[in-house]
Amino acid sequence: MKNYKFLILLIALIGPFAYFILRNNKIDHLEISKKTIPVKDKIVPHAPKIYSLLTTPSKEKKVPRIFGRKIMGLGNKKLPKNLKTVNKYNPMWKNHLTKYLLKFQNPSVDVNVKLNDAYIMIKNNQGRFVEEVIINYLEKGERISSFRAIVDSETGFILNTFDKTIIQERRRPYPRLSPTGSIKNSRARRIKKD
Amino acid sequence: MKTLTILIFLYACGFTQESGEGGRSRSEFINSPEMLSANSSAILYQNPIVETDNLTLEADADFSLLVGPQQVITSNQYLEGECYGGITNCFRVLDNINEVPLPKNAGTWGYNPNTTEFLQVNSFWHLKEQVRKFHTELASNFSLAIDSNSGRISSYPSELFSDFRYWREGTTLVLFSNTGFPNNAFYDPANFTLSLGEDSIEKEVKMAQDPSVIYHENGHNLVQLMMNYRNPFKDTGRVDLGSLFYDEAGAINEGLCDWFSYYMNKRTHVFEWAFGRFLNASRPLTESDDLISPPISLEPDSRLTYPRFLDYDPNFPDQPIEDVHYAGQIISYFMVAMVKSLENTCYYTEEQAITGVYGVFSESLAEMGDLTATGRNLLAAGIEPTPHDKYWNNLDENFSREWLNMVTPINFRRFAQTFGRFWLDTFSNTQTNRCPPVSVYPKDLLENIMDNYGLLNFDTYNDDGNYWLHKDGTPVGHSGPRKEVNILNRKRTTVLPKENLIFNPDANAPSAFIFDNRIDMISALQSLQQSGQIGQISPQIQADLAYNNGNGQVSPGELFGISPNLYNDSNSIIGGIQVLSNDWDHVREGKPCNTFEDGWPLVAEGGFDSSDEIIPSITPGDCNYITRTNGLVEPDQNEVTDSIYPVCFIQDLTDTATTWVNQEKYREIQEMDKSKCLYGSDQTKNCYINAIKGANQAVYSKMDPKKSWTGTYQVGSEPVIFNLSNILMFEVNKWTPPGTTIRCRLRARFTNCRDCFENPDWENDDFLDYQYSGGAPFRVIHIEFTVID
Repeated sequence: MKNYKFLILLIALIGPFAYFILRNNKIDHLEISKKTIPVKDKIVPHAPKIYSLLTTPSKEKKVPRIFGRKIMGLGNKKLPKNLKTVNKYNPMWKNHLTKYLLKFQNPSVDVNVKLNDAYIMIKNNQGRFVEEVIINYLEKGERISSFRAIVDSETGFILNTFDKTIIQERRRPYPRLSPTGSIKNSRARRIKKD
Repeated sequence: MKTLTILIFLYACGFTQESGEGGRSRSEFINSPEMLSANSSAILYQNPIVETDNLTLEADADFSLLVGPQQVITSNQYLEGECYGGITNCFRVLDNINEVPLPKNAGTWGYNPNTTEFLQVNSFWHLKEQVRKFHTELASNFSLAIDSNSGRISSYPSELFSDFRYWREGTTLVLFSNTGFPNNAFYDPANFTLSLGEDSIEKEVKMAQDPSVIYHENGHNLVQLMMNYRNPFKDTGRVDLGSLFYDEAGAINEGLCDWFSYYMNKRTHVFEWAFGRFLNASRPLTESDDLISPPISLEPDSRLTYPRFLDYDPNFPDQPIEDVHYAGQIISYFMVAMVKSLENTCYYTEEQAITGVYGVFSESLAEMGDLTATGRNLLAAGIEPTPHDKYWNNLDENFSREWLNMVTPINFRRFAQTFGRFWLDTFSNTQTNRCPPVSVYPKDLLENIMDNYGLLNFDTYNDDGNYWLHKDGTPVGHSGPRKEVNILNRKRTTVLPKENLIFNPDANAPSAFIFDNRIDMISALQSLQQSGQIGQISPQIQADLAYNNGNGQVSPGELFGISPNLYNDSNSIIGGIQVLSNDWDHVREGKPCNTFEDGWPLVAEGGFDSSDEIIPSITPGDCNYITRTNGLVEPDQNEVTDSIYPVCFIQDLTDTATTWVNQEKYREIQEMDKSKCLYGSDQTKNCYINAIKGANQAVYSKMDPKKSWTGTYQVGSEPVIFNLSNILMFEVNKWTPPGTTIRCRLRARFTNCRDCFENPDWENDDFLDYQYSGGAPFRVIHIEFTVID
């Protein structure tokens, strides 16, 4: 009986350590080897260059501006001389945008428009005053969806959107639609197999 | 002390709790600070189902029995982490949006595993590990890829690290581990947050208790990072992978994110606890999974094939569903198969193989997502770029977003083709020596695996890109060399001619379905607006859609949806059917060109007489010339007379003739003031009817042989319900005279279509990007209706 008690005590003392060691082994795959891919043994003349690309932050670039705004869409092109703009800055752009964003929404829905940055967008060698905004739709104070938009600084019109919320949902609750009617028009049947 | 000893003993012996009733007491001593090293905590490594191997584990599982050995969390005061390259505050974890940061507990991160404090700590560790692995391996792959001795051209930009593009220029990602959001989790890139919710009924079940959910949701962040490696934010903004409620790009995104869970834990199943246990929505990543039933298996002819299994939900195999999460399984299964192939062929460890596959799709996404439209890093390969190398893909910097979102979107074909090219450049390249046992990874083997998944639906790897500019008399995009697919490897993939996409030939079938119910359309608008899918709606359209009368016909002032009733006339399944209503190059001097496959309209009906044009034309503006710049007048392009036009024309009835005219012309005939146009006097091309930007493409996942989309999804006599991705939306001017007849010339195609993407005139090389401004790569279809009050 004494031996039995001793055995239990021994297991109780050693057990946790043994278990922890096993668990540690179990997660070995999470430890990343820095050399996971077999690399050809050779002298790589550009290795220092690559190393530098990996480690050296680019120097603080001077951000070009026009009309006091950053420039969007210029790419590697030169800024056109005497740049003409297709719109004007209107301080009411945000009001127009907010009004539009709520126009079709239920009264319980609110929207928050956060100005992130202001740009001159270059397209077709012409400039357009635009605002980069984050749009958050809210219901009962809770955020229900968000996206980023480039907005015309005069009209508040949305020019393009990105950074849209991705929802991991089970069988989508979005609107499901039933047709109210149909078109049956033989003249529309233009395409036929040859 | 005695109880403590027994509990330690039971725990040490691998005790797993039993499900069922019982007054089990929570063990609060586990993970207490006195048991931990500084800055550390015990970890819940896998979700509770995996930890216990108990598929029926109850919601009130005792997590103190499930946690494993401690790990260093962070030495920072709060749950804030650094990442590669010295980015501080790279990510942080909070309980919920308005909560204060969690402090350490007596110098450790030890909290009771059954608390939400522990969930914050645990989420932080998993997030940290995933980000660390992602960045470390990116650096490794980057070094190999842009080595100028590798004999390949990488898509990684040289500024990837120096400009911190590998982490949104150093912005802080915030993970909310306990939002209470019912049955869900989401990635919000606008605010750069991840939100994890809980089960709506079993509220003790938190999404953060399942690390595969964390890996998947952060996977969306990683996918977006890769898509934007080549996009300097201040110059281009960002682009998403997927732009509709259902589209193939979104499905690919979901598939890659499931794979990002496998990337971390090497388990080929996700969400067993969070979505699987009580919601029946877990997902496998391989055909050998217990959830998968015949006819799907690991046999080469029984894999999860495109497009047959696009709507396959293994939890409900008899209930097909059009949803990106399930369609994406084809990609995740395929990616796992590629890992296994690298292991078997190149004798990689699983870890090495995972890193290799990650490198290939990382470069693929970087190229495809390029908003600057250059696609490649020639300088790193020792090639000085010339004007001929200006635009590799996505047309140009002015229209790359539109090309990516709808015109040449990342569908299953484009993804497989690009992935295949980078795979061959990486593993079948003697200079990279990445598959030493067999010298190079066999191209036939890659094609066999792609074929097993129905993804070998392209004829060349498009090594020469899609640029239109001529070099030595040949468009750069056709100047080769390009690797060709060995057609003998195409055994299970079906590629069909576009002529198989027709209108439903049933004599009783409609040409199209109309949606004009006021409540439905308001609901659709709300959803489209909230998700950021649509831009502007005409100021004429009233907030309550007062003109929408729900009579199933098109009326003045209405905002309505339309879904063409298309039909698969072949004997095989077609996938990724897409109908476009965006502007395109089909008009000369204001008159519709009849030079496309529809041959419409005759000159006597208002068509432009292009009989004196030279074919192929090199004169901008000609019907036989397609704009190279999507109608944009660039000073250096000499295209001042070419432009794109809306899809809809109006019938002009006179005593002597019936002709089709554009909307501007009709306005002149009606003598209506320009200010009454949908968008006022500045935009008269779409004066009477406008395809709403963002809702100007309709997508259908698949059509069975000899069936329409509704026929494919019809169950008994129940009518098929449409979702927002299935309809095109239009707005009609309230001043449109009743009785006006409108004809819209739309363009349609499908993914496993040969002549929708390949040009038979150029040895089946891919069409050049500009050609998608025209009609050649599409089925041109017409929808005609009369506006009735």
